[in-house]
Amino acid sequence: MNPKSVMLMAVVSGALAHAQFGRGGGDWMVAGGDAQRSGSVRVDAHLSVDSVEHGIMQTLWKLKLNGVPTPPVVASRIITYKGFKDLIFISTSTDTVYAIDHPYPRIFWENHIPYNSLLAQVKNGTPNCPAGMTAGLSLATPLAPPAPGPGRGRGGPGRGMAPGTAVPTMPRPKRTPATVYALSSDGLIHVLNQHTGEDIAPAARFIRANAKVRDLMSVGNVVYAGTADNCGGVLNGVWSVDLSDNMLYEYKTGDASVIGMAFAQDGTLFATTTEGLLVLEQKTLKLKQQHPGAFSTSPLTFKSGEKEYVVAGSADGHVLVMDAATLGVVNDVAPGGKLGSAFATWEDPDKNRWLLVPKGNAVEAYKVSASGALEQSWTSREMVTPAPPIIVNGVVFALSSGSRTAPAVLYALNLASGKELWSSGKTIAGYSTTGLSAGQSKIYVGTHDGTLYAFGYTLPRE
Amino acid sequence: MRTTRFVVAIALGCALAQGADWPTDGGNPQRTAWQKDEKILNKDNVKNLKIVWKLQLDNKPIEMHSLFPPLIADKVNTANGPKQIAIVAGVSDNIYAIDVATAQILWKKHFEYPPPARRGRPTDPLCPAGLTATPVIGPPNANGTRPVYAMAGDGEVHTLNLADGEDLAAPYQFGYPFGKSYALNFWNDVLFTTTAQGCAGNPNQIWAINVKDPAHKVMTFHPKSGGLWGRTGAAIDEDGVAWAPTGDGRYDPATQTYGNGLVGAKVVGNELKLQDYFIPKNWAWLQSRDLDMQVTPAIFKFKGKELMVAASKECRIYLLDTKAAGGDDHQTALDRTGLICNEEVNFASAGIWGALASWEDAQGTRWVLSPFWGPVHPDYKFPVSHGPVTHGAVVAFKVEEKDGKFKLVPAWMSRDMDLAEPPVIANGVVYAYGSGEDTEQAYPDRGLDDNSPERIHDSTHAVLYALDAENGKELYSSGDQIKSFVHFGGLSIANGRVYLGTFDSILYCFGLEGK
Repeated sequence: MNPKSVMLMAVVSGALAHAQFGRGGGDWMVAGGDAQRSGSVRVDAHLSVDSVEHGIMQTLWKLKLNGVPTPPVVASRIITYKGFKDLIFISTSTDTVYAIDHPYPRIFWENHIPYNSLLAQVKNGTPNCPAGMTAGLSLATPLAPPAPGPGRGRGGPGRGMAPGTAVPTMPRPKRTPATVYALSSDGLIHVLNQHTGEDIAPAARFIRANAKVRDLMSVGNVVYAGTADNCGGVLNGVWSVDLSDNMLYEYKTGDASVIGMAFAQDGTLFATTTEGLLVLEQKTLKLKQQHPGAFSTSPLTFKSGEKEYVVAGSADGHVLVMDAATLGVVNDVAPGGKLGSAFATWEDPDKNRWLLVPKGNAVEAYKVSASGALEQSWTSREMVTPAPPIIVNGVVFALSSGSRTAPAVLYALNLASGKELWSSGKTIAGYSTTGLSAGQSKIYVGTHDGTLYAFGYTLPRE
Repeated sequence: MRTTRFVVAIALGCALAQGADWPTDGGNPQRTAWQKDEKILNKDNVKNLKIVWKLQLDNKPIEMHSLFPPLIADKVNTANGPKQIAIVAGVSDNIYAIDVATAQILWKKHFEYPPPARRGRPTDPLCPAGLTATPVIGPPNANGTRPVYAMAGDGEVHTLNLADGEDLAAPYQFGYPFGKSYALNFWNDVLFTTTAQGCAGNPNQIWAINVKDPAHKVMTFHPKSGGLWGRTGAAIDEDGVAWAPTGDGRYDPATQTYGNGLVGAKVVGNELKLQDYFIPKNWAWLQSRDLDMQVTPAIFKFKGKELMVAASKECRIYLLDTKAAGGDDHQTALDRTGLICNEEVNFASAGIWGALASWEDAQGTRWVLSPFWGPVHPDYKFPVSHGPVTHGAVVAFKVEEKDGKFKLVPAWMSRDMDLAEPPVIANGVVYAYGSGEDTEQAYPDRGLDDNSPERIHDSTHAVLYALDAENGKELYSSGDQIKSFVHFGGLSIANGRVYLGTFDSILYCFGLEGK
């Protein structure tokens, strides 16, 4: 065994022995990870600056899917009728939803959703209005991020532990079938059993067929979505459906396309459009406030002490930090260059708040003060159309999305310094339009040719 | 006594002079499940096995549990002369002593106690509220009296006279009330048990008590793991080390945390001290998928060494040296098989469950036997097999040594069995059974919902098989003669009789007519 491997084993063993899994920790429930769209995994058992620097990142697998994939969502330690599973759920443009059993990868189930609308199905899309299923999937996403805490129960020591014994580290297994929310191209919202892929209730009419859907998100049994570019003749707006009674709510945005959405922890919904930032009531979507301006990124929210902020990027390249209560701009910086479609934020163990901004041909990192002020920290290496980055336990994963002539490359960077720790090199064959997802020490990249790649660390089976 | 009996066929001319015992679950303290002294049943005549008698006992099943494996003692001096006696424990705190020759109940003991403050959740198969530890028969004292040590559901040990059921000593506290103790083992005056599932708040640990200690000090070793739920409790090596598998949990030697492994503890002075342990290198994977090490090991001598085999739901077998289990790093086995089954990585209805077995043939070949549940792994091959295996099977390995390296060499795989349970071996014949139990704990529509009523409803019936121990060929099958399933029961064999108790509290005795 070479010295590097010995060092890595020591790092991984140390991480295992002292790992801190969050309660339900490590799951990636929706695009952007959570309802705040933090783009981060707060804690991870294996990935850290130290372990990535010592070579923990591996190319785990790649899997060809039918259609252009959307960003996957990830649920770990599900007790299914076929055993404990870490499942990755992903939809593609062909209206197919897959559950992939990590770490093999095996297709655990596959559900091709038949088109069911009186409106003719758009089969040949355009770059601006792609055909088929455009919405990513959502799991039932809590309004506020769960506090980190120990797991227990089946598969862990749980009952019978003596007082004072070591804290178990595995996240709590999920005993009952949770759901996957999928919005098919015919505009029906499907609530699928995570264990089987079957609809647990009749699909409900949600949005007109053939829409270009952005940001599907399920919070508190209400599913939200935004529509853009009047694709399929569908009005632009923010939409919600209460699945307890299938009541529909909408806030139409006219010519303005919806870019993205994020929740404040009190349930206030922020939605960016090409003409402003909307503040909407949870579920009913009644307008509470708005901030004018052409936005180009999804918003994200975070709390700093008692104060909550919303951050969004404008079409002219400004990053705006606003007081979530008043929409007063507390900071406005212009990193230069066109901004990517979403940001990421993470609070490090020293309570430093970080904001990552993809812009132009790089990712830029800012420290965020308690008052919302941004202090530029570092700029990454050059990338081709950087996708929204994500942060896992102090490691930034940034994707050079690539182009038709340059394949995508995934980079791991030290959040503190921007130093490159690892890269996927030439592993990824195509370019990516899906961005990144993460969960349980793995990073997922989908490419336009329908391939899903998994990188990271997996527990040794042997 | 309201015992209902129906004796199908009373054995004719039973041979009482054979002198073989089965004094403990798994046959001996090493849990090899090998009856060395069988002289009646053999490969040639086992095809003629019949139900010699079956006896309906008045034991009330609790959750899925009912009867535990019988203990057999021959030539027991009773008031009515020497008898071969089967001791059968029932989960509702019953001990039955049965005259093997006549299928008559010689005596019965029912333990009464105030209901403990805590008990398992009703319908939970994991935590039945009652007696769960198979008793053990101790050696005779100077007067020839043999004690039966039985732990009631309240955790008290009762010392009963094997001949008549009378108390030989006042009961004393050993285990936890309704704490789900596993089969008792006995070694040099010390009783051992293990506990699991944290039933009624019970810690998961190895327990020991010296039956001659007037203070009845309870000694424990707590590995800070999931349950120690090897079916036949701990196995004891030649140095008195009690080896028990540990359930899901972390491995962190710095905090003396030994999850997903095998721990060996020994009575030192009046304390139970950790002596050694083995933790598979992929313990974290096992923990993440609930693939506990939960199989009672079998310990045996081979070429001057004392070896041990252990296994888990992951479905591989480890060969270990009892003097240095796992080597210097406690994680390196002498040998480790590939995955024999459980390609699906299922925690409930696949993998190796219960206990292992080992025996030595006349040529000195040492064999290891294992049951498993579910389909055989497509990548694991046995040179001899007997048809497709989808529900489970018994597999056999030869232990071989070359240049100081020890190996488990696959030998044969049996026919398909509906959840193969731990086998026993006697006189070149392997006895195994498919339990017919429904072991599903999770469902597509509900997820985890492990409940006794549904599992009982969906269970079928057990089938006893006799196999040629050299090649696994089926020599006998009980077909559909057994009417109920078996959960946490087990086989016993002595003096031409094979015993199995079923969920409906019927004890079956198989044997040869006229023998």
